[in-house]
Amino acid sequence: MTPNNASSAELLLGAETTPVSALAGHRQVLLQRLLDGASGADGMAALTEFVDGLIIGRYRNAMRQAGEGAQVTGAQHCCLVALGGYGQRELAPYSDIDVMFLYREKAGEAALVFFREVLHHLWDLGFQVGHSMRTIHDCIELAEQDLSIRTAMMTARFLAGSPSLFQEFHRRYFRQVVGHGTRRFVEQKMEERRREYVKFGQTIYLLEPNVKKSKGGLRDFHLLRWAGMARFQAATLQDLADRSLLSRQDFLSVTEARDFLWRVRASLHVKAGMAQEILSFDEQVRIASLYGFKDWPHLLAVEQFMQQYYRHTTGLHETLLRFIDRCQTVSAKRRSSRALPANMVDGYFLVTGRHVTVPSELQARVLDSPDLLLRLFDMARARRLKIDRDLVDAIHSHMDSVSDEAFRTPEVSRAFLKILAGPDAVAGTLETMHRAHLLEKLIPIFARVRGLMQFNQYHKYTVDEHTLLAVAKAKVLALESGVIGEVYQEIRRKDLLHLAILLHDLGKGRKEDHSEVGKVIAEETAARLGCDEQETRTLVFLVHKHLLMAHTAFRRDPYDEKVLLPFAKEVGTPELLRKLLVLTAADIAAVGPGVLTKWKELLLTQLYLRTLPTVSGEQDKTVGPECLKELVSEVAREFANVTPVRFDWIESQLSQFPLRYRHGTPPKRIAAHLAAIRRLQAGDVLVKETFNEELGMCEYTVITHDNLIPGIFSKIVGVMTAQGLQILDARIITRDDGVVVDTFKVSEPDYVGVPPVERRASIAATIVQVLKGEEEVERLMSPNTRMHSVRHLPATRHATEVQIDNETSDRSTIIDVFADHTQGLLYAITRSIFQLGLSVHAARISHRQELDQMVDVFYVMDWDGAKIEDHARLERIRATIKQDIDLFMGQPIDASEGVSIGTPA
Amino acid sequence: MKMIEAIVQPFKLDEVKKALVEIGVKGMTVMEVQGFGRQQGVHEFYRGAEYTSDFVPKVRIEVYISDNQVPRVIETIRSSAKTGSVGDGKIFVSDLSHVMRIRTGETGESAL
Repeated sequence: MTPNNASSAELLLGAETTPVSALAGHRQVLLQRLLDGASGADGMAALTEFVDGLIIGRYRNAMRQAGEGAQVTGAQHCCLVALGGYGQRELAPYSDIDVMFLYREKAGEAALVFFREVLHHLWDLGFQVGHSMRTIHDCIELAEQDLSIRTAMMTARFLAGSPSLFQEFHRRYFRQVVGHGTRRFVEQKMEERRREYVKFGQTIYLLEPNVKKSKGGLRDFHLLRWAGMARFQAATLQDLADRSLLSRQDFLSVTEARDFLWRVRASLHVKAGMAQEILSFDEQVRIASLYGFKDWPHLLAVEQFMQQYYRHTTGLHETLLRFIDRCQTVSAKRRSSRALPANMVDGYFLVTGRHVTVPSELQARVLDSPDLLLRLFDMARARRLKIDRDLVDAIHSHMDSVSDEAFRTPEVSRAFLKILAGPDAVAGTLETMHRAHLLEKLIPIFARVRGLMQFNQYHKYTVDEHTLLAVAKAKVLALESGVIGEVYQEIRRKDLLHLAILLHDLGKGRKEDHSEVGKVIAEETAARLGCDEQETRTLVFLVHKHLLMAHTAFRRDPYDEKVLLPFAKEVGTPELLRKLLVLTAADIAAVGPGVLTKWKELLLTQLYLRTLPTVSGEQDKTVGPECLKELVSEVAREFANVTPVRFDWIESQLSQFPLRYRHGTPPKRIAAHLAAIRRLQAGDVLVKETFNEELGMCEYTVITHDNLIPGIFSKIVGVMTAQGLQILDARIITRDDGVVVDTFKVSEPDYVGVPPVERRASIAATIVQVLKGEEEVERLMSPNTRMHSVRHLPATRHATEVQIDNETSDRSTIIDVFADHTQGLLYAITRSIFQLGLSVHAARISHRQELDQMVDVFYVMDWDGAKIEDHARLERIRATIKQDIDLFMGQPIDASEGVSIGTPA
Repeated sequence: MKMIEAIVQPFKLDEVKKALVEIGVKGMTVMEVQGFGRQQGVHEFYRGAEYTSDFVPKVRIEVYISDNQVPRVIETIRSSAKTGSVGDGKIFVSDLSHVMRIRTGETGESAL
């Protein structure tokens, strides 16, 4: 105690000011000083001094008023001690005042009287008081039972009464309690803190953090200090720094963070008039402007302020973890090195138990080599190893001196994609890479979103945290039962999915629409990583359209074709649809706990399931084995009327057909097809035509062998087009044994009602002739063929969309075409496909009359029956088909499209 | 005073909200709900397994209004929420006996 304290208290207690108003004044003064630039430490010390004055004054008063005997007791056998934050002289405006009345047994009743005097006074002033009355023996006993009491007394400070009693307490306490079982103490304290993290936020990047208890909050600082006191008997941080137990850099970052948090906390307290520790959105805005942050065009003041907040809390938290490691390491390292043999992997990486590090003599080599660094992370990921914290720090501090360009090599890209492909521990690895500042070397834009907050009520995390969390959430969803999980499992290129998730929000924090900015970022990233044309398109689509599915599912009617079709058209392929579904769900889940409700999952799943048949060209209704038996017996019944056949023959025939045939075809029709197949000789073409009264259209079924002539499908379509038929629906099936069963639903614009039998027979005959090579489609197409005369372009023409999907099927390449329905278009497409040297193995043609649009899906192979794998050829195919369609439609080819054909990304 | 409770298609929420605001409804409560009515559950096929959800996602809207607003509000919800197919939802009207605004303690219609 200094005489100063007493005088300042007396000064304020005198005259008109009451202690209560003086206290209020002091709180305001404290805040003003902080705003004027005083350090947090100075401000808090000033407030502490004031409160000290009040308390000490009161204690002295009580002594003066007591009898002589009591005075002796008060001076020799009792003392008043400040504990906790108050003991540390770190009082925030509305902090609790933690005081202990220390006494010797012989003090008797008098002790209680003094204590009551002081305590009641503090209550009257409106303080929240934590109080206790203990003997030294009590202190030591309690400290052993209760961790918070133990830490509170570690910062005990003498206020008034007997100094010698306090000294005795202090000496014994540090000898018997603080210096004992320090390792266990640090462990327990850390464990306690971890439980707090669970309660107050597992991440530093909470959008409304608790400045004291959230990760990176003031409590982290306290913990660091307690650990230092216990483990190294260092009374202050300065002491730790002086003894090199805390690096200069860490010392600076911790003191800066502490000071920043103190200022924020003081403002929170004064505004709320209570110990408010939660930095709410409203408060963020207020405090940001209070401390002079100004709105920039693309970054609000509050966003800058919070970015700084997260920078400080991240620094503080990371330093704490490092320091705690240090407190425990010595023994841990000694223990593990004895128990577990270390082994070298890849010539650079030293693996001990679950940890991996790089021996110091090799560290410089590894740090300078992006390739080795990526290999390190991938190896750690694959083997589920923890990269040594010191090594991560070393990488972090070294990264500034390595250029981004050094990371632009094929080897590095390959390794990065390998990490992204996982399938295990992808998110964790990316997080560590982010902590090591390695991620931003690969995706430079990542540096900008570090700690970038999204100032809205919706998001709970900063951009970088949100994207990393979304990657983790994708994996979590995968483990849950349900459609989304299954879809995730099916996705082939998980690396592209994960990369898209990582990039999807990086466009935030700029003036422009973040999806548009994201599109550019995705293009740049794809180029950096050397992605090919198709990978690039996938990535760019997912990032650019990452909100499309959510918007469609939540705001539009999934049973409306007008909604479904444009959505299907934009997405195009089943593989993209799958990725988009998982990305959407993961994105929503990573917004905050409980945001992805079952309700939202249901809406997303519904849209997915309704879109899938359109983009895959398959009615994905499947018949299981039992149903096959059932189908066989039904087909057999149909046969029974004509010629009985064996069940197993029917079964073997049916199993050659794809699932979609078995499901969607009535048994009667199947029986007819099988009967035809039975009759089918080599070189034969059978055409069966019927008129469907109900639909008012003709159906032609063509059955033959696929080796008869190339381009069967295209030729049939050609005949029909030449004859002026409108193809509304086509189903192309090639069985494994080469039997072709093609069914066409067509309308006859020139006939009202049932077209005459002769007409139908002549069409059937022409198809046979053409397929047998006796006639040529081109000769059938006379100048007045209908396809040219009725062709008219709808006023609101939709853009033609041609997409290639090489991922859905193992055996074929899939071409999806979305276009306006125009007479003859199908022939143009099939001819184009034929001329490209491809054969259509399966197809699903459907004409959405209501919308006057076609959705055509072709499963193609080259003439040797192989899937097309060459990327350049795939792109040529896509461009050629689109070009041919546009030519056919009489529309000039878009110039930009022309350029992109020749320049692969 | 009446409470109007409407169960509508999720994708109709924006439209209903806009329409209600236009006729001067000052507030509403919205909940994500699941249930079934005549529409029954959803049956979709997914990779061979029939994917069934016994409950269909819907949105429940509650508005509290004075008696004279009732016909207008009901008609507005109906016309804005209607698609014409099964599953468009229902509107329920019930009496409201007492209302209090927490902040001011006002009661009755002025608290609506």
